[in-house]
This record gives sequence, C-alpha cells and structure tokens, in this order.
Amino acid sequence: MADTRSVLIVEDEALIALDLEATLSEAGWSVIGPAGTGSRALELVGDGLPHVACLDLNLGNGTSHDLARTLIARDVPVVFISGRDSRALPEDLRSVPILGKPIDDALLCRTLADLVPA
Amino acid sequence: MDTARKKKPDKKGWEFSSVYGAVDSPGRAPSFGAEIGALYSSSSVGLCLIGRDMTFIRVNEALARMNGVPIEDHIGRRVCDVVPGVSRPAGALMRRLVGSQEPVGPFDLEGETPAQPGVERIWSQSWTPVFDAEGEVVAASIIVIEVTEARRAERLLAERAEEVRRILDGVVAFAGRLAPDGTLTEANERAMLTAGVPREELVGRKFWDCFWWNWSKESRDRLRQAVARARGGESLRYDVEIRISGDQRAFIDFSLVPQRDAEGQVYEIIPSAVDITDRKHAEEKLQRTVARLGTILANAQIGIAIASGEGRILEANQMFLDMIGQPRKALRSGALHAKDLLPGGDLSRSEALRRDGVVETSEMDLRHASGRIVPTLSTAAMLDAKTGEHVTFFVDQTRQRADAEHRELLLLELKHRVKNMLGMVQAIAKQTARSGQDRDAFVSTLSGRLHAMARAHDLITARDNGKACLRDLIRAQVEPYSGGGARLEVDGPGVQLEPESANALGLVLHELATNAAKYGALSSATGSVSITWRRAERPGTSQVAIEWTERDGPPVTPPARRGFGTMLIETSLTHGLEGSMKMAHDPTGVVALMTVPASFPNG
Repeated sequence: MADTRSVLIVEDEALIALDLEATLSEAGWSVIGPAGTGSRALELVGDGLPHVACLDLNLGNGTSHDLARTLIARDVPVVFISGRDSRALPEDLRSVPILGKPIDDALLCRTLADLVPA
Repeated sequence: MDTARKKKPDKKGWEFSSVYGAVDSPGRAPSFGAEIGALYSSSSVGLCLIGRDMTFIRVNEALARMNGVPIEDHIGRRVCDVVPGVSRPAGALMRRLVGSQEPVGPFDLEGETPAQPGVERIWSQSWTPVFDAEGEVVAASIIVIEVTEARRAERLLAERAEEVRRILDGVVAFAGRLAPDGTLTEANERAMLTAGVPREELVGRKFWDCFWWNWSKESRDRLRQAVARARGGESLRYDVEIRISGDQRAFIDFSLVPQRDAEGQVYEIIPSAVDITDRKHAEEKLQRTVARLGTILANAQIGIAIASGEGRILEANQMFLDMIGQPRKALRSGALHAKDLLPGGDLSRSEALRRDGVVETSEMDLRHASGRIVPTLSTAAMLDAKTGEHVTFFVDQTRQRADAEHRELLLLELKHRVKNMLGMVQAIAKQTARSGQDRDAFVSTLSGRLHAMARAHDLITARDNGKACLRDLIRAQVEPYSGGGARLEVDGPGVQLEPESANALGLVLHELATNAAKYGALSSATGSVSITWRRAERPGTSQVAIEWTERDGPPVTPPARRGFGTMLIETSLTHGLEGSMKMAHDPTGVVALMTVPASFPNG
C-alpha cells in the first residue's frame, strides 16, 4: 500500500521544496510536485488527486487558502506549513493542522500518516 | 506810696471819678456820669459796677433780670449774698483785676442765679478796672451777656462735628465732605494718611485739585464732571485709580452721594471710597491667568470639552471641534451632545465621575461628523458636583494606534521571516548532508551557503524599502571567489530586487561562483567572468536579464552528477518566482542566462 500513498507538495521556497521532496520521498511517499504556485499545483494534480497535500501557507504575495479549500472540497486532507501561527488562519480552515517552520520531519511524517491511514 | 500802685497813663480802664464821681467825700451820693447812666438804663446788655469789696455799687435792669433780683436788692450788698452761684469765680476775677490792673474778657463764666435756680447758665463777661485818683483799682465795671443758649448750640455743634470726624476716621473706608462747589471741607484720617500731604493742602481745595486726583487729567476731569452731577442730585459710583503717598496708585470703589436739605437743595456731597487695590490686582491676576489658560486651551493639541450634567457640550476648544469634525457654530446652537459623540458611552452618566470627581485615563472613541471613529485617550474631571458639569480631555490616538498596528504587523512579519529563514537553513543543511560529502567538505559547503544567505539578507535589510541592489548582490556573492575582483566584469543599469528574488538569486550566484572557483574560470589564473544585465524583453513583466559568462578557464565538462547545487541553480529562479534559468556548459566556459522580477528605479 505504501507505494500508492501520494503527497502533493506546494512550497514557493525552492530550497525548502527540494528538502521536503527529498524528506518525504525517503519516508516512502510518492511526491507530486513540488509546485511553487497554487495554479501550478492544480496543473500537476490534474485528475489524479493525491492522498494528502502539504501546503506552504504563504505563496508568493498570497496564501494557499483557496488551494486548500479546493483540495478539501475534493476530500483531499491538507497540512499547512508556515512560519506563522494558526491565528493567521481564516475561520473555515482552523481545523487544518499547521506545522511550524523549521519543519520537524518526524512530526510531519506522523501527521501525514494520521491523515492517510495505510 | 509805692509807684507800682499808681495808675500809669497807659492803663486801660476808667477813672473812678469819671464814672462814679468822687468817693473822697463820704456821705454824698456819688454823681454818675450822665451818659453812662443813660447807657445803664437803656442797654439790653447786663451792666454793673462792683466795688473792690465785692459789693454791688450799680446794676442795670437787664442784669437784675438775669440775676432774678430787683436792682435795689443789689445795691450795697455783697455778691455772695445776692448771687451766691457766681460769687466764687467773681471773687477770683476781682483779685486778678486788682493784681493785674488790666481788663479781663470777654470770657465765659458759668454759674447759677436766683432767676433760674438749679440751672447752670453761661455769661460772657468783660471786666474793666476802675481806678481812683491814686491809680488804685477800686471797682470793676462789668458787661454781662447771657450766652447760655448760644454756647450750648455751639458746644452741640462741636460735639457733633467731633462725632462725625470720629465716625469718618473710624471707618475702614475713605470718606470726606464736599461743599456743593466741590471744595473739600473734611476728610477722614485714613484718607489724609493715604495722601501723605499736610491737611491744608487738601481741605479747602477743590476736590479734583487734591493730591489723589491731580496726577492725571483724565481722573481729574472725570471727578469734576461727577461732582457736577452729584450737585445736580445724582448719586454716582465707579471704580477709579487714585494716587497715594509715594506716588503709588491704588484702585478705589468710589462713590459720591449728595445730601439735601429740607427744601431739597444739595448742601453737601459725601465722597467715600473703599480700597479695592488688592481685589483689583487679584482680578487682574485672575484675568491674566484666564487669558493665559485660554491661550493654552486654544492651542493645546488636546481636545477639551466642557459638558453639562446632561451631556450637552457647553464649551470646547478648536482641537476638540476638529476631532469631531464640527464647526464652532454647532457648539453655540447647543446641538452637540456627548451621547452622539461618544459611541462607547456618555461620560455624564459615569459613576466614577460622580463618585470620585475624576475619570482615570482610558481609551475612548469619538465619532467624527463623517462617521469615522477617532480613537483617543481620555480623562475627565468634575467641575461642579451639583450640576454635574464636567470637563473631558481627549488625546487623539489615531496615529499612535496606526503605529502600534504597524509595529505589530512588522513584528509578525519578522517572526515569519525568521522562521522561514530557519526553515531554509534547515533545508540547506539537510540537502548539503544528502550529497554524501566528507565532513570537512560538508562544513565548508554548508557555511558557504549560509554566508551567501547572510549576505543577501544584509543587502535586503540595509535599506528601508527592503529592496536589494543587483550590483551589490553580485559583488557580495561573487567577489569572495574572484581573488579581489580583478577578473570580474560587472556591468548593467541600476536594478532593485524584492527580498524573495534577492534571496534566490543570491544563492544561485553563490553556487555559480563556487563552481567557477572549483572547476571553472575562477579556478585558473587566466580565467575571467563577466556578469552583465539589462531589462528583459518580456512584455507585461518587469524583469532583468542577467548573463553570466566564463572565459579563458580550463576546458569545461558537464558535471557527471546532478547534485544539490545544480538543482538549486536550476530551480531557485523558476520555483515560486516568475524567473528563468538557462545554463550551458560550453567548452570555452559556463554560460548562464537568468531572468528575475526586478524594478528599474531609473526607468
């Protein structure tokens, strides 16, 4: 089953995106992306939805709120990664887990695994 | 005979013989001068002749009436028997007359006569000695005028005048008396003392010519007119400045009151005054204080409003009116009410204000006429507990609140950036570790990359606008690897980069520079690198096109393995940024063509 678990990574910071990709690949996830923008992410996803999405909260000058809403609407669970705290989240996204930067790899892997039971 | 007893030629008095005839022929009735006899009988003035032995020799009718004893009961009898009530002073006078041989009087003699027993009466008397041929005083010729009533009236008048003076002197005020023409006839001690000039320079002069008034034409003329009006029957009162001793000035509350007689004629004018200098000074001080406060209030950068107990705004300074965007006329019409201006609650109903008299400084919003809310810090104090009138001070906090919000935003942003930076450091460290280099190489590569980040960060934070200059960024990242920059060509227009672009480009330049130093043009003594840029020809965007060209280095071979550095070079400008990167490993040298979003301050 491990082969089939896929994660979408959306992170505009190239360095961090590369690191996330490497970290999650090593943890056995099939990585889609990393995408630097929301629109690029939706292009990558196409029709094949990932099991879970790992989104940087801030993308460029905007946020990944709308992308998160789109994915949640398609039953894709989402994890936010952010330098900001959860108070920055709008009401409807308060239940989305938020992981701080710098990223705790073990916590990230556990959180993703919890959202996608094997 | 001693000569002292002789009548001298200049002696004042009568020759006895001239008034009485000779006495040297006893038993013969002395002849009385015809003229004097006529005078005796006709005069309404009391006349008598008393011998040295104090017996009545002659008495006229008028005196007999005064004494209440018939003429015939006087003659030949002693004074002490006829009018015992006056005999003692009469005896003393006779002794004096005999001794001095000089006339005495007129003087007042007091006593009682049988005419009015038990009543003290007063007579004005003149005693003239009567001499005999040897010049001896043998008798006294006496003129007696009854003055009892006149003296009493005079005494009463004197007592009354004294009493008036005592009253005037006793009062704390200045007071005096003026004749209708304005002549000062009397002034109390206090008034005199304030002038400090002799009485004769005041009393008897026209009031306005006196010391108090004559220092100024204005005060003198005004007084003259006032006296004229008082003479016409008018009472006047006004505050005026007068001169007092030492050429000082004093303020008095001055009044003129005319006195009328039974016919309604003004016979006297009473001027009086109270010294109000202290009060006047206090008033002036108060006025100055009020004026000063007024200036302060008008210019204070604090809104100040006075409201009634019901919350109606009674008074306010310009700052307050500006804060609520209302014209001053809104104040006059009474249309401003605290409940409309304080959406957070009307202070007139504040319990603290009623209980403690003050409301501690607190945040309070004011509503501007436009509907905008003006944040303020406000304090209030009760002015009149009975009516509830109170004053409230408002310090506009609009800017402070905006500043605070801005600070909070900056702090949040800083927190965010620090965390991001740590995230990047973590990523670099992990990625560097993944390359599988030995420990020394790992440390050197990692610290090189961290330094690259730090240099980019320095450039970004060096300026207030948070933008980095491209030329500075290139120099900062490449020069450390170029041996002093001799083999570097850096050329292009002024370009500014946003923090994200500067961070990403900084790392890319660092990787290009370290590669060149390890394997490329900067690894040989002859190689050089040119870095040039221009505005990119990409419609709708503002980007800079940068060309990295290595020359004269060792022959280039494409890397066998795609390491982290390569991935970093390839993805940093495209991932999340709208930039691009094309890299070619030409045999003559590495060529990299990059574009990143940028702004061109010089157009």
